[in-house]
Amino acid sequence: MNNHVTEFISAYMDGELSEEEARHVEAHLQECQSCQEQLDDLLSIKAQMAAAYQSIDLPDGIAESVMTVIHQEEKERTRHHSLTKWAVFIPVVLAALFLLIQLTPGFYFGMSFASTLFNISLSIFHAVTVIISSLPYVLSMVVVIAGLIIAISIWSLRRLLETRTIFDD
Amino acid sequence: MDQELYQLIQKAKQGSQESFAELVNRYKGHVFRHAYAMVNDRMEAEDISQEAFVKAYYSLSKLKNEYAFVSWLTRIVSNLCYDHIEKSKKKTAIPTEDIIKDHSSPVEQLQIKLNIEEGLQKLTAEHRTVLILRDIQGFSYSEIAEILQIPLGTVKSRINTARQELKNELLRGEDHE
Ligand SMILES: [Zn+2]
Repeated sequence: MNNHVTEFISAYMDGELSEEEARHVEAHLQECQSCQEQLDDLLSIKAQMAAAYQSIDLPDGIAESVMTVIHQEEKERTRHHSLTKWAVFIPVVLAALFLLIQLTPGFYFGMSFASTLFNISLSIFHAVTVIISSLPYVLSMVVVIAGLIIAISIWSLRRLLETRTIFDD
Repeated sequence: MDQELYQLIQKAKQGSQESFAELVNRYKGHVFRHAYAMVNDRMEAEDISQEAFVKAYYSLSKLKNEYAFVSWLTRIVSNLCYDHIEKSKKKTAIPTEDIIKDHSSPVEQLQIKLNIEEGLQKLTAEHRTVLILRDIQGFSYSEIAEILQIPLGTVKSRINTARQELKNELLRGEDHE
């Protein structure tokens, strides 16, 4: 028998042929033993496929473990977010301190000096925290700004110290 | 798609974890079955299913059309299966020499009869995927084309080839009996 319909058999049994194509396949199947057998085999495989997997047991707790992962992930993201937000205030605090020192030379000098030192070490500590836990670009921005302000603070402190020495003279 | 499901997807999209949990419950069977048929290992299929849902949760905002949710979710799990299969190929790659040496004795070979699960594992991942989508999940050819993002004609010929190959694998097992 010529012109077997082998390549159409799957689409035929899946109902994916046009009416005309399906009629053509059916006409051929009437006359061709080999293609009819092929169809029977593939129908049996299709049925076995469906049967083998429809009845599998689902593992317990897929939904629970998915939601646990999501909860933890969300918590982690919130923590990062608030840390990042908080880190933005470091340069603000440092800038305020810097202004305070500039506006009150000599007067509260001792106090300013101590608190500047304290703030410098605090900001270094915060910068490290930020490095570990925040987004890379926000992090680098904060570190650069904080570094800049620390540098300015140190420079102004030195200048103040020099001024003080001159006054003492 | 019923209205309730549509709303569930919308709420999940807006960030409702409760609605998402409900979606996981509805589709865990669908997702697990696909993964299990692909990798033939319950533990691994469970890992893939979990990964697929977590991934779905975080990319749900990118889903433009709520009605495409099932196809979209199926695409996620299908791609994850490919990744896992690739990874385990690298891990368990055995030098060809060993395979030849380790060949079981003729007597043992006589006892090999493949069941449908084992036969399915002999196919390429692409062939396995289309048969799973069609015969286990019941997607139409055009839905499969959409999920796998391949032409309809490719779906048609791939399903036919995959079924023929599966048939050959099962017959090969029977011949030895
Ligand atoms: Zn024929």
